[in-house]
Amino acid sequence: MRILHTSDWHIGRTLNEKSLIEDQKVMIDNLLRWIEENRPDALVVAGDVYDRSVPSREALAVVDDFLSAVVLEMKIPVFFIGGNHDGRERLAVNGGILNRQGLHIVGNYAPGLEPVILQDQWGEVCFWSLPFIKPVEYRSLTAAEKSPSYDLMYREMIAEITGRMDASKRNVLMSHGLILGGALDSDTIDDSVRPIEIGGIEYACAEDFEAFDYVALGHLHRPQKVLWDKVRYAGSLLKYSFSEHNQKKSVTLVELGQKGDLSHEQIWFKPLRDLRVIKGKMEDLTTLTAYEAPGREDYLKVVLEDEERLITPMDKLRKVYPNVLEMEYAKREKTEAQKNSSRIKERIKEPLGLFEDFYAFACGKAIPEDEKEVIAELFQEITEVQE
Amino acid sequence: MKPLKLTMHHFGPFTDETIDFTKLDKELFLITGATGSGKTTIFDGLCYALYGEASNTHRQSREMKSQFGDPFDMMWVDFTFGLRDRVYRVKRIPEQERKKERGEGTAKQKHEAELYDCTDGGEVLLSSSVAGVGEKVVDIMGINANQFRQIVMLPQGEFSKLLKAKEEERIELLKSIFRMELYNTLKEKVSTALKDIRKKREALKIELDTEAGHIRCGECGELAAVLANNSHTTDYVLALMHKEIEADYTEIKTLEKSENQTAAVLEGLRITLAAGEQLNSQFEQLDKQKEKRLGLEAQKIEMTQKEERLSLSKKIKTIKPYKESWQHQKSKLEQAKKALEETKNRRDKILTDLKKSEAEYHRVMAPEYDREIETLSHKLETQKRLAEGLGAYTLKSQALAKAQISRADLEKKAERKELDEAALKKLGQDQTAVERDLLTLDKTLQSTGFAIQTLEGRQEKAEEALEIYQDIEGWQKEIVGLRAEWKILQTKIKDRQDEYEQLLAKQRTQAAAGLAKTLTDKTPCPVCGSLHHPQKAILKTDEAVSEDVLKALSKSLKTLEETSAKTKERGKYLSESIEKSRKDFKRRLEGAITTAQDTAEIDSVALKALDQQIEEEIEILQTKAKNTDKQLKAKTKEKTSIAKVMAELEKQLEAYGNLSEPLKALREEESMLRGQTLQMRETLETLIAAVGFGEGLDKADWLLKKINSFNTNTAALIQEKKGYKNNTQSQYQKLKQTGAEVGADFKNETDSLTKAEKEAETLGSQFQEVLKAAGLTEESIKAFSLQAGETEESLEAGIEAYRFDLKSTIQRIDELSHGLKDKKPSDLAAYREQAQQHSQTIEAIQKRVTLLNEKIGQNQKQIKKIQALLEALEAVEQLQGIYTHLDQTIKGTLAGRPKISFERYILSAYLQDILESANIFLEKMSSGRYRLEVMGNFSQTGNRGLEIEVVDAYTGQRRSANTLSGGETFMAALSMALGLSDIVQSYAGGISLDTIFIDEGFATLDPEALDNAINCLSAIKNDGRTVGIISHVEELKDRIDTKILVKKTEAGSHIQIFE
Repeated sequence: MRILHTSDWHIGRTLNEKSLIEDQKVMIDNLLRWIEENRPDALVVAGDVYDRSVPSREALAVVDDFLSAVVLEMKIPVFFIGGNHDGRERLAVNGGILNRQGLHIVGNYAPGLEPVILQDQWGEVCFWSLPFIKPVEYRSLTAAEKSPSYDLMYREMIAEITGRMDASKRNVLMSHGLILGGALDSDTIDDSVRPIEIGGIEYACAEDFEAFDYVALGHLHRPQKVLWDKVRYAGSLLKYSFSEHNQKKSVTLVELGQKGDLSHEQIWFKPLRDLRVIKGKMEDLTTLTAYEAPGREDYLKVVLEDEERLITPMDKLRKVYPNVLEMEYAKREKTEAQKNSSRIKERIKEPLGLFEDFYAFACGKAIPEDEKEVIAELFQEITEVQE
Repeated sequence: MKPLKLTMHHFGPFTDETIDFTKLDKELFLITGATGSGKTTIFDGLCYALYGEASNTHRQSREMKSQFGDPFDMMWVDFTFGLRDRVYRVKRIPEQERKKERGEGTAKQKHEAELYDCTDGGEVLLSSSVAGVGEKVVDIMGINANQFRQIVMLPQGEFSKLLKAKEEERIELLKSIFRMELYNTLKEKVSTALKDIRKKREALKIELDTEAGHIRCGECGELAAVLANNSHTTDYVLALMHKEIEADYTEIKTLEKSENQTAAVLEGLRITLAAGEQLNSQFEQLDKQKEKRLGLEAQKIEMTQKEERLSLSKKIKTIKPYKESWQHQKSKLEQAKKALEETKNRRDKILTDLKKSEAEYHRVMAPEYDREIETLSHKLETQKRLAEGLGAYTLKSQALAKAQISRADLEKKAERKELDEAALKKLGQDQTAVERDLLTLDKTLQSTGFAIQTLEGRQEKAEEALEIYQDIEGWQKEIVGLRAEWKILQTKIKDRQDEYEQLLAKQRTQAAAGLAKTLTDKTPCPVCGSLHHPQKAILKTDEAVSEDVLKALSKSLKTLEETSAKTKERGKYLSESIEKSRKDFKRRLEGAITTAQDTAEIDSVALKALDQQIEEEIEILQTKAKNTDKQLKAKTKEKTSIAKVMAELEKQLEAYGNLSEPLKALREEESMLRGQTLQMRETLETLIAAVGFGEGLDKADWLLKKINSFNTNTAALIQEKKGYKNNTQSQYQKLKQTGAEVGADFKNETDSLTKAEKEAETLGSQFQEVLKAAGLTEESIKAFSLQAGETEESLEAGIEAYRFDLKSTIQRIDELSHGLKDKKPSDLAAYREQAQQHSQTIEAIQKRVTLLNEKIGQNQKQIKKIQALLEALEAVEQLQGIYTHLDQTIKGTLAGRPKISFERYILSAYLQDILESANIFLEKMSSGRYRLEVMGNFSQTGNRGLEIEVVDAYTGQRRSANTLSGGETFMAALSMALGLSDIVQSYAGGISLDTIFIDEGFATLDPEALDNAINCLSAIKNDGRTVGIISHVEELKDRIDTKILVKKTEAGSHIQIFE
């Protein structure tokens, strides 16, 4: 059985107020064309199909057109699970009807959910859905007294599934969440996943996933394996933040043979525009030759290395690079105020660190542990709500 | 956002004005006009179209309605703009009063808005709801109305807010531009959490008090006092409680000891009491048994009677069956007698019925009865036949009537057809006549045309001849004139020639004289070379001939000769022309005249007459032709109408088809039907007479109805007669049979009665024998009966029980009397009293112990509770400390520290960034004099992090931005707006701020500053940004070529574009 694994489409996303829908349409078209030519047996989208819980009409239309072609015309079963960006209740509206057409959507986690079973020449393949869930939600679902840790929650949920699954059959798990092989490496996480860094990031360990034949993960935007080859993040459809500018985006084609047989392959598509970071002086960046340079229309973050600030730098840059989305000057602080200001701006996406700085400034000493804990917890709460 | 086109309808001072911004080919343009002409309204229009709000927050959209024109004409704004590579159009109708669509009065127009994408020429509707358009505009612009006013459209007096406003307002402005939700939420969260913690602490304290209130203590003692006064710490109270519990335990121990002692005494008393009570009860028993025995003995007589009744009852029971079987037999006999009687009565009745039935049977079996039925059947048959006949006859008559009508119709049709045929024939003749006429008329017309053509040819020739004739006449006259002229000329020439000759001679003489004059002797003559001049010619003065005169004369002579030659030549030419024209004339004339007239005699008068005559002839002929043509047309029309009528007739005739065949068939059918009807009539009349209803065939319907009703009756009568016969027959047979059966029954019953009588007698005597043997009579049996409620069994049981009771009572009395020999009852009251007292003592002790245990239990519980509460309180207080500190830190209210909140701390970084970008502009505009900086000294009183200072490079002083003059403020504010737009775009590249509008402020600038400002704006413009300025400053008008001029008139303002 050939399963195409993808995730984190984030349809309807904007980057620095620029709508990326055009780029997404091209990518979805690429994907559709590939599916049409290669006819996989199933398509898995492991969460964050949409960027917002209430997607725009345009975003809905993009996904709708795609699904109509894949599910209704090509008759390829499709699996959707809820991600942290999706309106998880909304996503699964009319799920019963769609199910019969071969579109299997699980928006919210529900214990005891039966797997969807597909057949191939080697027998049955069971698809288990484990959408995004927060420990608080899990607590209210299980009526436990206290929210468990993220890791414990995942262990319980996995045990609930492995406890009733037939290990002689092939089992595929689809999940959206932060699953890591070992300790947290902050390079793993990119800005899109976690727009704001909070004190301790909660994640689950992949150890218990060994019972499955394949685990299709979503959430992290960089395609990667976790512990084993059979536990993988497909990565996002496009580069969704400048911190991802070095990542190569792909979708993963998984081939399940007899029980225990697995091979996989990355498939790359060319995006409408790349997303890059360029550096240099204004004069050098906007010479005549710059007009001929490839990728002039890419989405860019420009780091200007001019010593002095310039008049209307964005207007100047846009003449050459119509899609500049961000601009900053390379470090060049002179005064104390400038140093402070650039430090603050640097840490603006890292609220806890910013607060630590502020605390030191306001109180004249470093923040004690107990106060730091309180602030970290509050930021966590706030971002959870905002997500 | 690049403005492309703005239309304002009844908006502000404009009734209907459109600005085509694409006509402004310069990136920098000026909007100018008199005060109050509506310059700012253009900004309002732009801003309103986009956001539904005016450019200035003080202006209300409702107040924008035009004062000019019809107050109820709809106000609207329509704005097209480009954004990046797309083109959008937005139209807004503000809320306003408008005329009702129907009827009088006004209605409220709701706020309406529409947004289109017009990038590809067409219009794609993006949204048509106010909310939807609002959202979509913010979405595509990337900024909201507030931000728009801060960055893009800088309104009069408002954009300096960021610079000069109070700190709070500045915060609001910065917050509206940079996202601060996370940090605001943090502030609120801490604040809310702190409030919650405080509440929790209060609640805990109250709970602690409540729990302290539940402590139980003795009425006096330290604990009671402490609790009453609430005077000591909770820990001290807890210690006292432990003491109290200790004391309570000691008391319990003492009490328990005393209880045990009392209980032992009580036990001894109880044993004594039990023995005494047993003896007393045995004495009581004995008395009771004796009493019982007396009662039983009194019942003895009653028992004897019961025994007798029992024995009698048993005897009667043995006799009873005999009596019963006898009585049974007797009642059977009675029944048999009754049955026999009934059978006899039945037999008699049947015999009577049979006799009657026999007579009736003979009547119906007689032949007369059958004959009657036959007569009726016959009648029925006749009537049926008549009814059928009548039915058939009616149908036939109807068919006949129908056939007659069809035939008549067809005949009429045939008549019409004949008429039509005749008409067609007549029309055919008419058509031929008309065609003939047409031919004649056509010929006439043709010949007339031909004649006219001939005449016209002639006329033309005559006219030409006349023309030629007139030419010839003219030429002839000219020749006569020329001849006379020539003669005169000849004379003149001759005279002149003579004169010339004379003058020439004179001259010759003169010349000689001239020569001679110069001649001196011995000088050779230049003419002849003679050295000798004998006769020198002498010049006479009067004879002196001037060379000029001679020359003039010669010239005149030459002219005359030339004129003469020309005259001669002309005469010759004319003669030739006449000769040529004469030939032409003759040719024309021959064509013009018809009769053999001598052409020579004809002159111009005659020619004119001829022309006139021909003209008249033509006119006559043309009139004729016109008439003929008219006739021709009339005939043609007639022909067409005839053809039409004929076509219609032919169609009609065709529609008739062949009529004679069907007519013949119809006639045959009719006569056949008539014959059939007549034949039927005869038959039917005979039948009618036979039936005799009195009416004839002409009332067939009435007859039919009558017959039908009679038939029904007759048939019923026949049926009835036949049925009656059958019934009578079968009834007679049945009666005969029943009679035989009843006879047999009667005989059988008589036999069995005799037998029953014998049986009864035997049974009677048997009964009497048994009665006698038992010594009873029938009367004594009748008299005996058991008493109410008695049965043999109950009697037996009663007697048995009585005997047993009596026996056992006597036995019990013996036993008791034996045991109590020599004994007496004892007195127990004193013991009892003692025992009760001891019990009460024990009870009191137990109560007290329970009470103490409860108290200890509760106090222990309270100690636990209070301790837990104390712990909780401690934890909450610790948390409160943390949150209070965090709250103060975030809000910037820590004592002795800079008064800078977290929010301000972050915003100050943004402000710093903005100011740095703004400074590039400000330094340029102020010729390097001013810079803006965030006030750096945070410990300074009143500095809350967002104070802006101006650094003056000339003086090296720093001062508050509020101290800037009007012009300086304008420069600084403009710089900040520009700096802000740079910063916003570099943070969010999706926002494209390629336009800036500035409303006034330039008046405050001195010439140098104005220069600098304009240079600055020009530099921006060169980077591709559109800059629009509203101003009435004269210098600007000179410096900026591209202008939008707003002209104020009495009927509203008008807009003109100058480039």
